[in-house]
Amino acid sequence: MRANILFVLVMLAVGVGVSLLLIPRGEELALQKFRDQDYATARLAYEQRFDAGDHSAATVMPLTRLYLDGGEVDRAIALMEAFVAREPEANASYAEGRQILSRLYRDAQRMGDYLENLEVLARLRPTDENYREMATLAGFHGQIDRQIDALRQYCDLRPDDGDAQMELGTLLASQGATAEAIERLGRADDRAKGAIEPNGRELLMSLLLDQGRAGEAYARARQWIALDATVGDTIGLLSQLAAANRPDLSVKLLEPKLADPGRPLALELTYIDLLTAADRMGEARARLEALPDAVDDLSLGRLVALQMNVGMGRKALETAKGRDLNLIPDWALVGMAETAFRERDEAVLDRMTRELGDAVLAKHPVLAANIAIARGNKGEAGRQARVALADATLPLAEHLAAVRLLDRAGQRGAAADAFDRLPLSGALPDEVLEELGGLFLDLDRAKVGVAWFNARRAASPSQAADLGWLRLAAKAGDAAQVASWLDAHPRLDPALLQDIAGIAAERGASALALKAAERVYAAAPTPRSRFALAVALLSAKRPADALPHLTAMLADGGAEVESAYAAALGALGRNEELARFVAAKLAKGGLREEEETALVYTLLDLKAYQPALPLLRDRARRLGGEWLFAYADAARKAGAIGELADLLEADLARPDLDAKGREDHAGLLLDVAGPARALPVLKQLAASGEARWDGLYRDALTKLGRKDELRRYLVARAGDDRVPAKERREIAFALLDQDDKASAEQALLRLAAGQGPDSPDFKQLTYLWGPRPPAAALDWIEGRAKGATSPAEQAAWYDRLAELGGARRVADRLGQAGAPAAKDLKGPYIEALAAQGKGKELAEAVKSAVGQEREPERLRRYARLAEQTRQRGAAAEAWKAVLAHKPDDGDALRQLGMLAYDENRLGDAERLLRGFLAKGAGDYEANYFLGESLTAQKRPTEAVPFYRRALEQVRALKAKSDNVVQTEANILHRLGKVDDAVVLFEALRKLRPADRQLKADYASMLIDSGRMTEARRVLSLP
Amino acid sequence: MTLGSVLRRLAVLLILAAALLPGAARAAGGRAVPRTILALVDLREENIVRRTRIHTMAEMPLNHLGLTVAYWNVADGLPDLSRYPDLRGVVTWFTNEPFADPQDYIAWASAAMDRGLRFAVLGQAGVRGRSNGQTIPLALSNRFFARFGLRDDDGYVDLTYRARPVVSDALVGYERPLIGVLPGFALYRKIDGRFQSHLVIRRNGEEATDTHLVVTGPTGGFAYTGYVRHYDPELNRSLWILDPFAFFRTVFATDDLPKPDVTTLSGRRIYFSHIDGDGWRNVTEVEPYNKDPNNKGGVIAADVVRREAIEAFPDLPVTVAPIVGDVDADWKGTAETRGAASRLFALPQVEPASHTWTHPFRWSFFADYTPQKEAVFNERAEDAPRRGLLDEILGRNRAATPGHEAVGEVSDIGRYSIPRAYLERPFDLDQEIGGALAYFTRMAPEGKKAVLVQWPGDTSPFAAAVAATRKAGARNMNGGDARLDAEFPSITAVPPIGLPVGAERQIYSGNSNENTYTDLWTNRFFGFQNLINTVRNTDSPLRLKPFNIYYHMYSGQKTASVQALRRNLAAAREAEIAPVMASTYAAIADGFYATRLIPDGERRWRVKDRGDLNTLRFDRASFTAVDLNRSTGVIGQRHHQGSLYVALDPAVAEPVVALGEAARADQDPPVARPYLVQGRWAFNGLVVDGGGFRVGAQGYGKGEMVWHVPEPGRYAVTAERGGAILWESEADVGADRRLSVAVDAAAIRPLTLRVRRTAQ
Repeated sequence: MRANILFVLVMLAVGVGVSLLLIPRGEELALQKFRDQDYATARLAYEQRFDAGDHSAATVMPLTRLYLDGGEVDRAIALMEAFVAREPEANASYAEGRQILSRLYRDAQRMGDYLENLEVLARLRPTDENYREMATLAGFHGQIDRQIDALRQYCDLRPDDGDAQMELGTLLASQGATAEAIERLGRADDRAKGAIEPNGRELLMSLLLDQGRAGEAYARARQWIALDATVGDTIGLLSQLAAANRPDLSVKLLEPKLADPGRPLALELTYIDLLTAADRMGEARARLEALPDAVDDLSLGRLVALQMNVGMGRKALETAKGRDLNLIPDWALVGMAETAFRERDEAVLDRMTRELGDAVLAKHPVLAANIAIARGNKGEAGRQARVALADATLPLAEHLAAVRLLDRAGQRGAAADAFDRLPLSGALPDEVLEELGGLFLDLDRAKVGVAWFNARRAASPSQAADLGWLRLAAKAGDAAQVASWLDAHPRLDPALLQDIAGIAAERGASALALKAAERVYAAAPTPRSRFALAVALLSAKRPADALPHLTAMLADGGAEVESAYAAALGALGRNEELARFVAAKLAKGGLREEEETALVYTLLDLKAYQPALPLLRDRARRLGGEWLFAYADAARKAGAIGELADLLEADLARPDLDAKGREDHAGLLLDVAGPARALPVLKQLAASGEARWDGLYRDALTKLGRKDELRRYLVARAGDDRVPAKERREIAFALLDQDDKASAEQALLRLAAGQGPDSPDFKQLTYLWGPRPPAAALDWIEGRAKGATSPAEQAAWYDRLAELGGARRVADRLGQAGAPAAKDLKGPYIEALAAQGKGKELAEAVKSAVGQEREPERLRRYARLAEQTRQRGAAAEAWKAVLAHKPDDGDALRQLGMLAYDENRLGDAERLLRGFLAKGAGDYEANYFLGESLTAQKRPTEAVPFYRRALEQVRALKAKSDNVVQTEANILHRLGKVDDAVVLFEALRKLRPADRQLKADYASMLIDSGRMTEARRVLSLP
Repeated sequence: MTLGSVLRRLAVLLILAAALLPGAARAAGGRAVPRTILALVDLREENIVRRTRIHTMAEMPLNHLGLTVAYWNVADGLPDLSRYPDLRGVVTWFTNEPFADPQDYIAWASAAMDRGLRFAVLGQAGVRGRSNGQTIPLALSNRFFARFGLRDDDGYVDLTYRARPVVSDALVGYERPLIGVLPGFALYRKIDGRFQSHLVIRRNGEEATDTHLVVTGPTGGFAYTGYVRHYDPELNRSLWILDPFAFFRTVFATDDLPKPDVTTLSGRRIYFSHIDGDGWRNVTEVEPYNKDPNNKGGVIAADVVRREAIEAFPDLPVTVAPIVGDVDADWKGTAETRGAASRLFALPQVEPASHTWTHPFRWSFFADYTPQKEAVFNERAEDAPRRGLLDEILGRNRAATPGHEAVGEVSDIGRYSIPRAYLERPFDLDQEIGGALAYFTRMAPEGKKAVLVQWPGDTSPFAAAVAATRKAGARNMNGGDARLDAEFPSITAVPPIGLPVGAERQIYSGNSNENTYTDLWTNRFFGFQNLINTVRNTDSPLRLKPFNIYYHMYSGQKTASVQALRRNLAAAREAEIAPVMASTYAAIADGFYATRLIPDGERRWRVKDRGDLNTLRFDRASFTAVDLNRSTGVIGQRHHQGSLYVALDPAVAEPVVALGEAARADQDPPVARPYLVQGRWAFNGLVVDGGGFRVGAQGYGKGEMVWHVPEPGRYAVTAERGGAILWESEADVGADRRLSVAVDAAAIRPLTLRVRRTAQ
């Protein structure tokens, strides 16, 4: 029994011992919980291990996983980042950590970090897959340098990947790295024994030709063509050599292929083309002659084109017979049409018109425009004319015709613009000169035209040049020269002479106009040419000679002749006769009112006042207004002052005279009859108290020199409270005009006494006192401040005091015991400190004010003042206070955003600037710095719209400082437009060669863009 | 007043009425501002409209500019333009030569341009050759290019390394600047000065080689292929090179077109949230629910979502769409799954909706459905291996069988080995759509009705399915999968508002659900927290989409997904939003397509047939404001990012909006009449009463709102319903004339707000 008991006890002890050994210890517990999917417990256990200093992979990896399961990706990233930062690179767990980080960055959409981490990973594990992925991502995100680097690595690891070699070669070529591109493509081609893709061959050949390595290009091309190049690829390679001015090499390359009797027609045609390019025309013609006319549709156009190229027009017409003309290139069709036209082959022309229809017209827009004009379709004519003008290949005659058509289509402005753009240098054929001269004239370009034709006549004299010049010179050239030319050419077309006469008369070149008109009248004596002669005589100041012609035509001449006749009389000084002529016409009656008016004015012009007076007097009484003044003027000039004054006085007594009329009459009486006669009337009117008489009365007193009487009158009115304040204010200024500043100031002080600092009267006073009022004035303001009945009013007065140069008084008064406690008084105190530039005190005052102040506009002012005095901290507090009261305040969001950016608080900067830009398009700085904040946070794609908007805004600025230009350059850089940025930086650098910061920024931009050579150049500049 | 004076006034009124009525009648019956763009697509190449370049990339910017898109398949010939009375222009985006006879197309296009229609030609113009590969004479194709001021010089440059852009203005480089290797290009010479070149490329620095690849002018615009967008085949991602907003804005001259806006309500960004029922029955892994001693079988995901994401956010409405098969006892429903639905529907902020009866995966399968066609899948499903004892011991899962807890996209996402989740009984379209809606209406408390179908599966319903929603008096939604973040850094991943499906219209959701963030719910279950990036990027610098949180019930299954969801909801709570139900957004979206704008004088439009859409937007409007004296039915206005958002009064069937000038955009336009600046709730029936007003309101959460009032002073604000005052307060209005209040009353049931001035 004892033994049994002992056995049981021993077994129990062994059992307990074994059990104790089986209880999991700390490090095992976590793993066990993890495996049991008891994540909360597992996480707690792993965190305890981590806190206890176990930062090994065995703790960090599962803990990361647990954080992810809990949705805490940022925490997981932080943990893994700390892990890789601690872990030696040589450890396998470092690479594993990086791998995990990669995934985490991508899943958290931190693409900048993701790319950087990929780079590290690729370095650690330089596999083709890693570099391929890196290149793809960098390329998609527009990081070209990084893409090239990764592709280089990839291509070194995978030289067999021909597509990648091609991709890298293309990319290198696009970045100007031609030598490396050639080297890599060449190596790839060598490796593939010439079997690289056609695109790669084409690129390699192009790059070799660029480098002047035509021989090498030829050698490779020969290998490719011999190997497997298709007809299309072969033609492409040959074309490249031909385009590089080596058609001889192309011919040589192709010759072996020509030995094959079954060679494709395309190769034969290419060969002929190359022979033509190599100037071996005879051989080309011979081969063309040997070709059959019946070729397939695809080759027809090419064959005809080659025939036209070597001058085989007739052969081309034969080849095209019975074939679809649409298959032939347009230029060849035009050549065929010309051939047919030359050879009067109407059947071909008919066929072309019939079969090509609109297509032909589309190619001949001038013809199309002419047809449109003929059909009255000005819109279509204008459109076709523009098409013609846009086609630089058309001859000048066609362009001139198009300009004319545009003008005829009613588009004068567009026609003139198009004309100005025409290239008129070089030798132009004579046949275009007449039309050219006509356009210079019709489009108001006569002066330019004269100069052009003068040059032309000197360089290449011809009748056509003279005729083109003639009208232009009459309009804007040397009239005497034109007259001499006319003398030297006795037999000229009357129409041309008529043009010259008209143009010269219009210009005022009377001698020339007369000479031309005389020649016209002598050649064709019609009433029209006679009248033209009379006008020319008048213009030539020969009215006596003109008068007989005009008198002879007067009976049937109409208004035009009557006017010229009157002008002739006038020019001869026969005014009485003229006045009689006019008065008789007036008296004859039957005229419309405007005709009567014109004749009256003619009389007045002739100074025949007396005959005009009856009509003027009648209209003055009846209509008043301007007629009254016209009558007054005429009466004065006719010496009928008494009559006028009587009329004025009589009218002033009329009760039905309206206020305006009364004022006019009184003014005139004063003006015409003099102040002495007018004064009694005016004094009486002024006594009525009506303001408008006041002015006239004062005017009369002024004119009579009764200064004392005037001043007394003014002072009395200024002191009369019944007079409206506005008028008293005006009187104060009238007193100033009288040099009575003291009375003026008193008047204004009296006005301002009962009013606040914003009142107009106080403002007048400040104007009177000027920007630095005298001490007495400051005393007065300070007195008003002290006597104010409310803190607000007191603050307002102190504000004015500070503004007007009393800042020190305000600061002293309000800052006796530090900043004033009363909220209303803080504003003027701060303003006063700002005016004195006391930044430190101002900062304290602003900080003490922002807590109390609730008015956002005032807080904004505090912020601005703090900014002005460079108190950034105080400004920030004030802006924050603005934001607290107006959470969407644009200014505050913007300024705080800028401050945050300055302080590298990028998240805050982004939030604030986004808030600001949510309200509107904003300004370029806000958009730019938001872009910068996003870029700095590695979110360049998000930044792009803001850079773009900033760029638009910068470019819209009318004037740009250097700093703005530098910002523009930075924006361009951010948008990948590095070349444009370089242009701006270069311009700036020339302006500011000694600006080291500029140089550094420029170099930094270049380095950032991978343009190391240029960067080195910039840095090495003095 | 004497009888004579009364008669005189009446006479004056009659004369005025006679003078005004014809104008009014003219305006009312006038022609609407054309808003439709006809998209010519070649479905022989692109298969279905849903996948066309125009729909996936161009239509969203066009929608943003206020334009709708109608599609025409050129494989069916050329369209008869008289069928489109509301046409503003035509857009094409070909990659090949789709016309058997391009000459016919050129003639058709020329006639359309002569009619005044503007063309946006992206990519290949489709006029260089016939569809059989035959080239056509350049003289013919150049007739087409001449309409865009260009001449094709019959050359192509594929070696672009010596080419550089010499003109590249703001229309170019929108998401991808022209860096690296330039795409190959054809040679287009400009022949018409009326056209503006936005991208000109020069070779070897020689001006004579200039090719004009992006131009706009009087007939529209052209952007050459390769320079429209950058496409990376490796990543299958696109980036716009062209600025589509600026390009289409210029081409279709949309500056003067008021834009019906689906992103904004009451001056704030619209918020809505909706849940598809997939994973309803999944047992959660989330602690502490997975250790619930009262629930031995495990708490289901639907209950976790309710407690963590819905009950915890009573201020955020959500539309919940279960699958009938998951809850009905005759199918696979249990007391627990039914109870979960009832508990959700009972919450005031929850709207019932339908995710169909049996959850079709591949809709096209059912367009020509026969039970025989489906029988093969039923057999396959029955053959599926069952989970054995050993599987349970080892914690192994076998492939899901129909009706298994992992129903929905989870079961076989991406490959859809079966055409729908529950296929024991024959498919019945009426049951799927109208039947399921009626089922959930019955299940919901009195007064709540299921009026939204949330498309399941591939979200590609056929026309009859969409028509069935209309027949059932409901709206429809889903599809689109909007993303705009570091993973999808382009607006090419932001879809348009909806998709034409035959004569019907499918409305897309506002954002993608968690599937695209979690590799189709296979890993990184926290991924949905990145939604906030898309939300932010689709708000600024342009507001392109509402704030939408769209997910599945299986988000309640994982701790990480629940956390991600809660982060998104917290972000919504922080944002300035106007929350609505998902069906409301669908109705607004439908309104976008129906709206007609009738010009009614200088910068004045009558808005007709807008349905539930209540915001008009005017762009580049910093210095523009509503001229309220010439407008009717306008509740409010607000400037945001350079645009003016105008809130219309739902109580007015045909509001009139007139514009005037504003001195500055950073202050509310000063008007002698109260108007809404912004508010969390929806408002209707604004009646101005002296300096105060009354207005109906409905919404979720505390009613934060800002009104502009004509005078500063003290204002009393009361919220009433049925004569009972629910809340009252007073507010001071300062010099900015802004009345800001936060009405602390429940407004899910509509209430009335009264505002009156009590003191100066």
